[in-house]
Amino acid sequence: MMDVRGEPLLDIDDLRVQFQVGSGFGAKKVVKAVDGVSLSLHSGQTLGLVGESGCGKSTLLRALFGLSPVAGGKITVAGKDVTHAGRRERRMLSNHMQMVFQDPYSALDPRMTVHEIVAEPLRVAGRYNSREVEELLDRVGVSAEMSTRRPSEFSGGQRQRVGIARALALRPRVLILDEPVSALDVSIQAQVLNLLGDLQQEFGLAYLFVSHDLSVVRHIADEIAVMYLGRIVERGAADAVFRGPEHPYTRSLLASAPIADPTRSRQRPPRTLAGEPPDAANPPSGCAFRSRCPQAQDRCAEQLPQLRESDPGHSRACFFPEIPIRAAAS
Amino acid sequence: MFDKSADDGVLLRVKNLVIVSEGPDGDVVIVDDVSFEVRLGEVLCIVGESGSGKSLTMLAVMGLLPAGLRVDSGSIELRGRDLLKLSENELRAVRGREIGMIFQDPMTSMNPLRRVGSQLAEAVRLHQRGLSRRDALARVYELLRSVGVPQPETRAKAFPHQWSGGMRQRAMIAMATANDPVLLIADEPTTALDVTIQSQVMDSLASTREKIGSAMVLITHDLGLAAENASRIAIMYSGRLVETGDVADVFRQPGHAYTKGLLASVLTGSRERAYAIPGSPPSPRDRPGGCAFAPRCPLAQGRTRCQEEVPVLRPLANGTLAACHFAEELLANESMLELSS
Repeated sequence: MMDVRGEPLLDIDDLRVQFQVGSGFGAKKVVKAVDGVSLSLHSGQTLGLVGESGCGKSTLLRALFGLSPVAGGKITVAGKDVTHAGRRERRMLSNHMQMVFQDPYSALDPRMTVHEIVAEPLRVAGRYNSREVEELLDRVGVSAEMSTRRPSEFSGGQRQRVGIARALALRPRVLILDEPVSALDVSIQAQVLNLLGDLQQEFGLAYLFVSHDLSVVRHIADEIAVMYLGRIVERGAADAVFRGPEHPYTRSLLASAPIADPTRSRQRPPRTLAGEPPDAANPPSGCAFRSRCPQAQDRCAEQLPQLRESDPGHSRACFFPEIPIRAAAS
Repeated sequence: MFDKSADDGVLLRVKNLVIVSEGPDGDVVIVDDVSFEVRLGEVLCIVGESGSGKSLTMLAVMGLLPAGLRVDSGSIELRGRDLLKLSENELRAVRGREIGMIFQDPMTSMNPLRRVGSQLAEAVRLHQRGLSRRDALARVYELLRSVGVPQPETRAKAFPHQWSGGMRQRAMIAMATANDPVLLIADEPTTALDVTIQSQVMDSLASTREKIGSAMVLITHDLGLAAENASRIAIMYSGRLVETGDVADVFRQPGHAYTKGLLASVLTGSRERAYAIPGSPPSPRDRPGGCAFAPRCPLAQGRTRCQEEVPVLRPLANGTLAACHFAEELLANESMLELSS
């Protein structure tokens, strides 16, 4: 079926990333860090990727830039297969897709001025233009007088603005944002999110926005994908997933997030999710979530649930999605 | 002015606390004239952004200020006794018995080369001399079990890095509450944890605290955690306390524009533009004269009083105490922020 939005800018198809881990003696084990993930991203759209530490979201991002060992599947950027791209192709790729990192303190070279930091990718590409750099910095809210200073003189929020300007220097169409506001204070988070929203409208950017913070993702994302132990367990329009989560893991995530409203948070039912995510080197059989799932049944240990559509555009990988978590627990 | 007796329900009384950083160009005031109380059995949340002085204030209470920082003036009374006048030995006894501490990442406070169980047993014996190693270890198992660590006997044999963040934080809670302290100080105890683990650890902390009946000061930047756990809340900005009150009052109708801005910045479900407080907090060295929030405050624009006179905490009609010259205008005008943003 033809998508009305046309070709996706970024398409990840059945991606698999595996690591071999040895424990000294005996056979080596294979860790399936990313296990059959498919995602696609269109111009002007934000896809929020949510998951807890160890779920494989960082490994997935690294794979996009050729930094994780891809064992299978395909990554397409702007119509071009870049799954196993070489050096030269990677350089071309940087015109299409760039990354913004979580920690604005370690992502910027402390010896360079902010102007030089933003200019660097342009210099490497052989099209440095001082005025263009100043315009970019001005666009993200860093004044001309600030641009001759070094990152150490900047606050966290300002540094993240510089990181965004640098990522935009080559005019990419896709930004990969890895927890871009997690290190920032609440009052600054909103400033950066608003900036990202404005830039997206202005340049028609596509964002892959990775975060563990559900309120941030809910605020910025059009679509949401929830990841657990290397697999997508639920995917759909942000509103649909937040209003009617269907996978028990998504429900637990939403129920665990604190609510900044004392009149509401005091009345909420007790949270139910017990235990911790399993070891990726030694996952449970069948559904990886079953070891923590309040509604797991025999079938969940025997078979691996696949992503299935419940409503158009909303899918989840669960055999018993219709059982609400609380009814199953009681 | 203040009642000296400890039976007025006040457990901890911090009065006019000033903390300075000693630098080559003279002292810089980091925490400026902070006063608050913690009552027996209550949970006080201190909320603020990085650099607001919330952690340093509580480190001063524990007598654990890092080198280069010192308490310049003020008093810190625990049950009527001024902790600032105690010797290091006396303070150490207070920290182990009367005050329990929980920090953000317990990994950094453990020896990576020694098994968890023996480290915890050693900590137990520090405050219960005469306990045999075997008895101390048995006590460790009991404590770990009480905070929900499964199979403590097996896990105690592991090294710290083999423990997950959530389990390490539970161990920290177990140790901090081992001697039934009257006051728990928890500084961002779940910031490093995932959200499902965070809720487990906060539940474990709440039930342990209720069991021993201690008061708690919870330091956090997360307004959600504050709303769910605090009975009272104190908001800090640039080294000063700007508002304090019952958590329900502060959330319902804040009396300080900074509090109001913080609450408005909390992302809700809507995809509309988020409210953002303009500008960023000053560094202590560049703190403006008068109200430190004035350059970012919609109430202060064009008003010399805000630039010249440091506002003090005063009671307001909404039930909170706020440090603002023009708080009544904020209370009268609910849409103040929309006008300015």
